[in-house]
Amino acid sequence: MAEHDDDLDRRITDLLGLAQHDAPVPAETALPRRHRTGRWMAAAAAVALVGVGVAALALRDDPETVAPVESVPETTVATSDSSTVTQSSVSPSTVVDEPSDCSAPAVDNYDMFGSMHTLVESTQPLDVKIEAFDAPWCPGGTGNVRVTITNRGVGQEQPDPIVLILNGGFSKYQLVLDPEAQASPPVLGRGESMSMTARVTLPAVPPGSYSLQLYGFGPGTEVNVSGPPACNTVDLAAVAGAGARASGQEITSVTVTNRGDTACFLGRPLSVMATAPDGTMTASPIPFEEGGFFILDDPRPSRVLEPGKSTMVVLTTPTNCPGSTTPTYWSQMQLWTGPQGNSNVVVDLGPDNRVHTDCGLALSGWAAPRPPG
Amino acid sequence: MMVTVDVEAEYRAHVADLVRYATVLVGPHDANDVVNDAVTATIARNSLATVDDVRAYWFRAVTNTAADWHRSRFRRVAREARAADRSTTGEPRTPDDARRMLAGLSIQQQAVVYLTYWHDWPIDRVAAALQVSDGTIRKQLARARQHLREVLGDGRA
Repeated sequence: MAEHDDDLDRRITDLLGLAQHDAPVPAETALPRRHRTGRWMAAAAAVALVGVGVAALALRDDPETVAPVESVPETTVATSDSSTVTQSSVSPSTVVDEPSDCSAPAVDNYDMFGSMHTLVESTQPLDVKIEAFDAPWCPGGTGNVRVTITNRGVGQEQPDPIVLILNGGFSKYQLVLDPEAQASPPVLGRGESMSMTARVTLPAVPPGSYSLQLYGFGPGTEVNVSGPPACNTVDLAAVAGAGARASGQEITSVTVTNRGDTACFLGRPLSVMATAPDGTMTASPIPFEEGGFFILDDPRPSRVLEPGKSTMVVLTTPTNCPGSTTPTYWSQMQLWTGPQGNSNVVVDLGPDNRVHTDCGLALSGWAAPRPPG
Repeated sequence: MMVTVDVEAEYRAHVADLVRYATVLVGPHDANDVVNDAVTATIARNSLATVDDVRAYWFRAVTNTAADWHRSRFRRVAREARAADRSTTGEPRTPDDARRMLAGLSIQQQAVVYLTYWHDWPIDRVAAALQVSDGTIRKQLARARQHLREVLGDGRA
């Protein structure tokens, strides 16, 4: 065995800690099975955050709920011999004819979503065709899809419930389907097919090109989610305001400005790291609660930031932390807003902001700064 | 020896650790998939009933699945990681930095380092989990430490 070296041992341990700091939440806490998909990465917790500049405290149990999806799924079953498919409707159906809608706020349902992962690819002999209509789609907007599944096997097959995934390569997001559209598809005999048309709601995913897939793998169709690209760290200027104390909370407001020449998409913080005054960074992410809000302003988990415009986020920590005798007051915090690590908001905390996280941390949504005066 | 294993409970107990381990091996974006593939395969083989240490067994399954992941689907990524590793020395600043440094080790060496340092497993348990001899584990650990000593530098810069 190699010679004993406490310093090397410590640094290897730190290295391992850092290497896993952005480990995802396990996709399942129950046993996986075929086609089972991950549960939501983070459910909104009960959060209380204090509004900036006011002494009131607001509480809200569930900050956001998914807006009802106005969809009328169409389910038809086609029967066929081995070569020719003959459509025969087995239930009344209504074709969704509403256009895609980008007018809705692009952020309201983001808390209900997160990156998710699929499990084992199906071995069922099913052909899948997915069509997306009414492009372009937008973060948080709605669109229409049609899914057609055909049994190319020799026996009966029971397709799993429809789960549509926007696969961005690094991150996968599940679309919201009308509950009726989530019902189990019918058993398909040899050569039979079924199709389902439904209106879907997108989470507030970063704009870009995605593959829309059934269950998150296999053949998909390309979907372009319109909007500006994710904000880049070098374009974001974050300034911490003077710390405040109210209702048992230490409050630090941070103003983030887009210094770039183009608008960018600022996602909700996914992970938080911090740096101590001696330059050491936390080996693992700092747990935080999210979903808080400003009383007077519009909190958003994510938003589009125009050039030169600013947004705000509030960091809140408990004033009283009886279990912590020698806390580390951070000199810098990094809010990771994307999986790539190049869209971090780097916050230099001034000497007036004595932020330690020994007793927890809460983050508000991205809020519009209050107009001057 | 046939034993009754509460697989559901075992999974709930260990999945978070397995995902963190897989993150070190393959990165955060595929960690869940690697764990799920590994666990599902062990269940499909119906082999858990013959295993004394399910936790160690699943760590080995994740190690093997991660090795397949590197071999089959992401050779390019591994090549890039190795290339990046040659120029990555000193203090790691980000998780990607840390994983690039660890990517200079073989998967087995990463497994040995992780299980030894992070989980404080003794040599014999690591050896049993990876189905190699104690001596192999010691050699792998020594080589891994030597490599990490080089890429981490002396830490006093």
